[in-house]
Amino acid sequence: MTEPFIPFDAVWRRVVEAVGSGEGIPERARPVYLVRNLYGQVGVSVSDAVEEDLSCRDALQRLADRLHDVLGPHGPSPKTGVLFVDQSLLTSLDGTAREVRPGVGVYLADRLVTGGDWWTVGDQRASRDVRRFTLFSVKGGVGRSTTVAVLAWHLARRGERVLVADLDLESPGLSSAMLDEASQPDFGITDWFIEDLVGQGGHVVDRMLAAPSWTEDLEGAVHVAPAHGRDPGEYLAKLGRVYMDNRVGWTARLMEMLTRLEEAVEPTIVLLESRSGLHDIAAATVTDLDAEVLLFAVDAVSHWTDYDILFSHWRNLDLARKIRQRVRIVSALTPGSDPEPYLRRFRERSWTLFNNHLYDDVEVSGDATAAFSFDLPDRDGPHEPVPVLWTVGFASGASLRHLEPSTVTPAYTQFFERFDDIMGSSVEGTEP
Amino acid sequence: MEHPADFPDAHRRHWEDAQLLLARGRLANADHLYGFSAECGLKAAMQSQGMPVDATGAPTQKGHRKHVHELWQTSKAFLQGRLARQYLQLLPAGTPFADWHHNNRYAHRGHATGANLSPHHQAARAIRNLVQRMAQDGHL
Repeated sequence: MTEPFIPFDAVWRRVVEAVGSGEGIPERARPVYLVRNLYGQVGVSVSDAVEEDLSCRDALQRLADRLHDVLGPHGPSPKTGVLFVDQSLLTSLDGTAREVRPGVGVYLADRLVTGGDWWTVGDQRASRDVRRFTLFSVKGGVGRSTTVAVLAWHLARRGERVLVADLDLESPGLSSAMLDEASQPDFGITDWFIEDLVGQGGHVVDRMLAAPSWTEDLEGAVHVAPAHGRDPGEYLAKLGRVYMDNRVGWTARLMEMLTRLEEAVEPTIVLLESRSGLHDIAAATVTDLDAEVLLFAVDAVSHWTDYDILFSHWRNLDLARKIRQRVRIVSALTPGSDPEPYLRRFRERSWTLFNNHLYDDVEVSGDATAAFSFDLPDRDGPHEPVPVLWTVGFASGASLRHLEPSTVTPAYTQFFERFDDIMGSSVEGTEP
Repeated sequence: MEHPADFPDAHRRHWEDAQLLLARGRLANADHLYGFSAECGLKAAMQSQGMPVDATGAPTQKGHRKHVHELWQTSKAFLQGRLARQYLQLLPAGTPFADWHHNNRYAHRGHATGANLSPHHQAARAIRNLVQRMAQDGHL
């Protein structure tokens, strides 16, 4: 007889049922961690302080047996049994731990090979003198790089000092699009990560920044930190080491690099071009850098589905409250000829997404004034699309090395207005 | 007769017995067993990451058939991949078993003091944490 197939996505529900109200698990055995290992198998881990307690051992073994029965190949192997471990190995799981049922003292914790940053929203604050914006999208090809360049131009026209960091390391190109060959710097962000591994990061910081030629006439300034230098060198050999953890984790290294760049440039605004998709580097730029996040989307099922995955994950982990103040949706590639019908559909989809996962349920909370909740037509809500229009000027491949108001304005007028609103009174100015 | 090697179990057994001996003030043999617990823990970790062994469970490569004072650095090379930092940061820096030797089982008990046992005890505990983490991760 073949064994029944138990998919990964059945695990949580079966764990909840198997744990129930925690009956039979002695109070002194808790907290109990059900650790879902790198192979996707759930095992039982508890503090070794109760290792000699026979009634605890028996109760936990019964729990392990029950999980083995209901989870099959996703359950604990009989060989491993219950793991009695040092307390430090339990508390270090708290980043991904979810309580199986409120108050039961039994947690499901995930051990992950990659993507752990999607489980947390960092508390580290940027300096008060700088505002960071991450431009993120679940899919590529939505005009994110173009918007980074155009937005930097717009802000510099208004006197801001802008730092642009190309963190799309697997698909670098922003810098070569913005910078003349002669003005490209010797090194890039990839080089910093490589040199930092051997203590040489300080040697490249000042040599990984350059200004686009169009900044010369502007009131403010734009400094671009590209993914690689003028000569990419052995780029793939470097890229293969970029995500290396060193003395500290990779996200902490990214923060350190950003801090070093900010010390060098002293920007008022930082624009981070994130890699697209649900990748580690995107997780860090979206959740850990204290950045406000512009989520680029087009009205296509594949985009909404991906954002639904991400938003529902935040809701399930109770992270909605921490992330929702920072995010805002951008309607990318909006049809330039007749945008309103498109934006109406986009707004409905976007509102549904936010309302399902990130907005408070006013009827449940009962306190409409304190709730983070917006109606569909409410222009202040983060679901309200910030539109970038798809216009002939940009569609024909306008160069980001030579930005002109005549090509920028038709596509970005509404975007700039809305962005200036987001920036509040700190950005005043005239139309381009 | 010689039974086949079972590094995870031997690691736990030596640790548990070392703890009992330490609690009774039997420092020399506690120290001896902390060293063997550490060696077996490292070999358990290495085996889970591909260290070849023969039918008796013994490592086939000469460089792996070592006691802990000679195995410490070799073992770190086995901790690779995306979780290497998480595993390595569980282990103390330096070479905590540099002054440990298996032949000290023939020495006078007076040589074993709390001061020279302590780093071995701490390092053995760290290796125990490493083995437990790798078990949680499904490698063991």
